[in-house]
Amino acid sequence: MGNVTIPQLPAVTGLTGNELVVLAQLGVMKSASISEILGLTPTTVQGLSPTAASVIIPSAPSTIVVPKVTGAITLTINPGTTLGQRVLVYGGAYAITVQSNVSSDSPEFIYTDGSTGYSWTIPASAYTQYISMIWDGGNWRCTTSGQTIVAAATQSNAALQLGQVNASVLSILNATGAAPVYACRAWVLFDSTGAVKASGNVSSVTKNSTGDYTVNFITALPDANYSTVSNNYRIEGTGMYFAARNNLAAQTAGSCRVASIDYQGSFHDIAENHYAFFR
Amino acid sequence: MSQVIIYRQDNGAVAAVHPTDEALTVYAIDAIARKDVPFGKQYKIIDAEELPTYLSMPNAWSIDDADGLGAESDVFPPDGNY
Repeated sequence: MGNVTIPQLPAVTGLTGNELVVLAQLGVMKSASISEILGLTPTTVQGLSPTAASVIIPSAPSTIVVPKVTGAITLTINPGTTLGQRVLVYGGAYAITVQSNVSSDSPEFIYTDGSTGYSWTIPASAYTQYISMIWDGGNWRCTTSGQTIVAAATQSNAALQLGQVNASVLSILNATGAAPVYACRAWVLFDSTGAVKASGNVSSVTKNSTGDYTVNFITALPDANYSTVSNNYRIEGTGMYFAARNNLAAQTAGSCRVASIDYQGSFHDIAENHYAFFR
Repeated sequence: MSQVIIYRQDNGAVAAVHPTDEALTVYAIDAIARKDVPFGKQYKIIDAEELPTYLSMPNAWSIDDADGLGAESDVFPPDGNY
């Protein structure tokens, strides 16, 4: 780009691009393109569709790479030349590995979580995944989109494949081992009158009669085949009472009829009725 | 003062529906009543302190005093209103 200077002229305002060109033609200014004169950045996009391993040389503000390959390939990204220059590489039918032109020092890939590296692989058949790289003058600032898969599911800020469990979730739950974790879908603690002390996903408790209640869910459970877990309740000098499923009505997705009973199955009002529902 | 929803069951006894605080933060008590009272049953909303009276005298309130009817669905509509 040529230097654009207007020497020995007073400040001029209100000039348009055409007037500046005229000044250039008169020799007042050094010739330059209108976009250069106006300080505009060309908005060109470089589109590439490599069919084999290639070196990508960013030569435009934005380079979009859509591989059309018949096997896994590696694309080597040369350093950018302009701050803010962008390279966007999409996935395809086969795995696409995007790597820096170096394996140490700069430029490296800097990801949104602060981690760094020199290559990123988009899995096969991930047509909508991409890695977006912005040149910061020395390195590539990278974001990835679509299914960002981590092999060992150890990064708390990464999306997971179906069936994967984020290790940090298990840690929060103090769960160890490989057994799956299933969540409680509703729970409630209510007193003998049916008044609710605390709950989760319960809209109300209906007292139908002595020791006979219906727990109503705010959001229905997936179906009626959930597991109802309840407690026992000891009363000093009287005995043991039980909170239980009540056969007076079948479980439904929206509600569950429960009972507080003695060991003979007779209904009793007890002070604490605890229920949890799993599915 | 907390409120309770009552309705008369098929056997004539009064059932008391106790809304939870979590539901009341999202839905009006009337919406809870429509969802949780059996379909077609007339219900009445009373102060909780009145409940013993209604339980001991199931026929003390008249259908004419009803505040609404239980809805057919037992789930809240998406907008919370029936």
